[in-house]
Amino acid sequence: MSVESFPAASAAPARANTTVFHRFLRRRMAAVGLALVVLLVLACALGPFLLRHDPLTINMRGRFLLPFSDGHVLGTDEMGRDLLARILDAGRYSLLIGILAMSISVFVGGFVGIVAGFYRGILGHGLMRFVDGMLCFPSIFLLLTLAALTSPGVVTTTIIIGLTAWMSVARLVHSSVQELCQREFIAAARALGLRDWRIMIGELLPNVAAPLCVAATLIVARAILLESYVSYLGYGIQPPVASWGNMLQKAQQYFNSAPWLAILPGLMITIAVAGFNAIGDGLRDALNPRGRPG
Amino acid sequence: MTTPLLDVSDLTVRFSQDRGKVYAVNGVSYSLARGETLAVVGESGSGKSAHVLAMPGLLGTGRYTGAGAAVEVGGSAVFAGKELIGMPEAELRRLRGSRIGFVFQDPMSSLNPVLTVGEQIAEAITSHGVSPRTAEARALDLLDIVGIPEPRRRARHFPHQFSGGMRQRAMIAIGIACEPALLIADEPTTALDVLVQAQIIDLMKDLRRQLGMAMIWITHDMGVVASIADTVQVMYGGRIMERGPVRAVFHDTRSAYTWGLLNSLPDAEMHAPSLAGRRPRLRQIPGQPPDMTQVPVGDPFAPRNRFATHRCLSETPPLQQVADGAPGHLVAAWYDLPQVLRAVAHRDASPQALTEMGT
Amino acid sequence: MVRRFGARLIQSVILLWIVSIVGFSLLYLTPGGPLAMFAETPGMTQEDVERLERQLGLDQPAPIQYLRWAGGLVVGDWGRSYRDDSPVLEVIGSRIGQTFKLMLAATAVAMSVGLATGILGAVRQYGRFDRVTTILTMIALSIPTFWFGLLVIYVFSQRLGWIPPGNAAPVGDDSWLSALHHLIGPALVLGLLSTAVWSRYMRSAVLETLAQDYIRTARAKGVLRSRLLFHHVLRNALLPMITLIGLELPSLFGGALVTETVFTWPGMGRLFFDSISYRDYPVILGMLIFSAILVISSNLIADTLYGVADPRLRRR
Repeated sequence: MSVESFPAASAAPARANTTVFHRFLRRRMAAVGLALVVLLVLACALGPFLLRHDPLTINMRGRFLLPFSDGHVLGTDEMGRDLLARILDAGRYSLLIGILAMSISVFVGGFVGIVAGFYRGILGHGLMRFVDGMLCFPSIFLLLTLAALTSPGVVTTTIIIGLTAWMSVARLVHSSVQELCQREFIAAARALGLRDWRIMIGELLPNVAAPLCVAATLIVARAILLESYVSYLGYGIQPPVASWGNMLQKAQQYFNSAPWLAILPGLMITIAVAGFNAIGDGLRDALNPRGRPG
Repeated sequence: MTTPLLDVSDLTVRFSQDRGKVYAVNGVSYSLARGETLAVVGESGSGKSAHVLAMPGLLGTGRYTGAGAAVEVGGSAVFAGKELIGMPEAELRRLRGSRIGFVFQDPMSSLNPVLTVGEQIAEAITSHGVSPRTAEARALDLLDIVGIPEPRRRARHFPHQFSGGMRQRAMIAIGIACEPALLIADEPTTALDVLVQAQIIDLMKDLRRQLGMAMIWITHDMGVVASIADTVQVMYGGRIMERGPVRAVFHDTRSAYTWGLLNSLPDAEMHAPSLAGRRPRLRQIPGQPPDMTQVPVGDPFAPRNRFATHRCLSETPPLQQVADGAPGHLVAAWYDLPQVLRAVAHRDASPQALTEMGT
Repeated sequence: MVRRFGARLIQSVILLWIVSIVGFSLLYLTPGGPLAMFAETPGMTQEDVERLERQLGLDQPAPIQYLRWAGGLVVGDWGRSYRDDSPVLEVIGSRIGQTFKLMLAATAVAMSVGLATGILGAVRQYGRFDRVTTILTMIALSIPTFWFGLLVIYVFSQRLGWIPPGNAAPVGDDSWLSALHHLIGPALVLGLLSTAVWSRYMRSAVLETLAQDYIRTARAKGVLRSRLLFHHVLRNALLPMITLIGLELPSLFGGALVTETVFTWPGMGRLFFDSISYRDYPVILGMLIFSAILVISSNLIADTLYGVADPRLRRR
């Protein structure tokens, strides 16, 4: 398309105040997503200190209380524990696992992507074929296999999620690094005799930071979702530690009599995942204003 | 005097986007006679393409266009007795391709990659009520007319199997398929090699003579203007700065902007295309192009014009007949350029100083 | 075209080889090993376990074990289940039909609904329909499949009684109508995620196509709006969708696993959970490899189809 037909794009210089953050907030869905996530994180972090109920206190007399009864805002579960307290406590684990697993993914994926993009030869090729191979397995499949064969727990679950979600990051980083390596400033850095690792950390990493941030946000969403799958299926976080996923595992037995027990944790997962997804989408659009419309 | 083919008055185009409005075209008026060739010249963002494409509704006003910006078109454009601005899309559609033909800049991206060239030419004809069988035969004729050898074989090829020049010939065949009264060519030679450019220009001159159609030719290239146009219209900041017969505008220049454009080309290259590289384009004139997101005030070129007065900055000059110039030679300027230039020469400055010191 | 296919075929075979190594190493490196369960079984002595290890060839070094297993893969001997000694391929074969049926139904839902909403949304970008679908697709992408399945069962089966709560069909009832009736719930649940993905991809493909110069050319020719949409926009926008079938398969397969457990569907999902709880390594490995073969071959097919459909690639 010739520039002339859309002077809108060329004639208006980007003003100083239309920063990435402004462009981000201008997308309604992204702003809502951010608000939801902030709210959720605050609630999970501070909530348990403010509530008068303890998430683990069992009260066999007050089982299956309906929401808004007896001082329990969201009611109680099959063991008479306060549902709100449990949901917020579970949220701490679910969100923390999501973020930690993302960190592992971003670290491993970023490392593999940069190294494979920088060293084109056998090393780079081999690494990327390994990535291709890993991507052939459905991720839930891989995750469940590993989770079932190792002893489940918070730490193992986090590591396993992180280790099954890094491949997309590696692919993304690899392709940007390959592109960057064609540019003059990398050639210049090489000509200056900089060491390889200094080029990779000093020159390449800052330049892939933007897509890496987008990928990281989207991976948090994925990790939260994956955690809920394994925990729901009984191979992730084990009771008495609560996560949104394993709360659902128990609650489905009482779906007919106490549907709120299953509805609420699932809603929390959906909100958290949607929030991170919306942030990721918004970030991508804001960082790349003339890219794919979406 | 006979009625003009196209009569444009006070045409405005605005784009609305997240960052606010873009004032792309700000009150453009002119008329085009039957068979006349008008060259519209200007830098990127001068509104030269926008104003021409806005009239037949090709600037995103129609449905199914990907333009993210909403477009508002105001003023009037009467084509063959019919008002185009505000005309329903269905009626505009019937005009486009039949009475008004188009040739676009980059023939690679302007042709659909998944349809054969023959199909794409025939479609221009079937869209206006001709049977597919007749249209197919006509498409083969057209390929022959625009100088593509072996039309029968070539019609079955896809655009990527054509060379750049061939693609532009096919594009021209689409443009003239229904023998339009007006052909709008939006930088049709910009994306081509120098030799191919000359061939395409010759082809279009031939077709113009055979079909007797009027042409609006949008270009960056002053050399092309000299070789094909009857009238030239120089645009800047969404306005016409100067307009008139080619000879008058080139040799009796009255707008400081036109002067800057002409002086940014070495004279020898201007008339004879160099074989070594691409034909010279407009070089940059010092200063920034105008910020089109601001409500336009005054002469848009004033901030870059060394001789701008306070009046130029605050009051928009009307487009008026040059007092002692050729008939039809119009300029929008508060200053009198020949007089200003004489004064400069008197002060022993070279004419280039005007553009060099224009900031 | 033939050369392109040949090159892709060779790539696929190499990828398959890598996949077999990765899959094998993953299971080999996982702590515990296949016999961990027997070690805790009462009545099994250490000698018994070691004897079993020798019998199964598990005492051999890893490369030997891999070569034996991979050699078997090539000739169609995927090993035998630890549980009932039946051949792995046979075990998978007995279940795959139901899973395929489910995946096919879900894809049909996803493609029809997803493509239609994607096109409609893009054609009226930022219109009311577009806004609503954008939000709905975002929710669909974020909702956990199993939870959505539970909700569907609760609402449509328990409360409204429109669909059966699970299973493929009652024993003895093999009418296609009953089969279809049982398929509705799981197919909708499994299809939801893919629907959102298809819708989003289609929307952005249509938007991208609409912004192309050749669309302006078509409008400049005076092409009718319907023809513009079907002949110019969709022909171009649907092309990249071909590859999406291949790209979506891994997540569809994984989703099928989860959906099957929620709806107690007698497919691969249940087999998988039985196998991991028994530590039935040959079957687990077989299923991993099987799914990877499925993904690789569907990518190969999609790529080939794309080459046939796109004239720019056809004659090269």
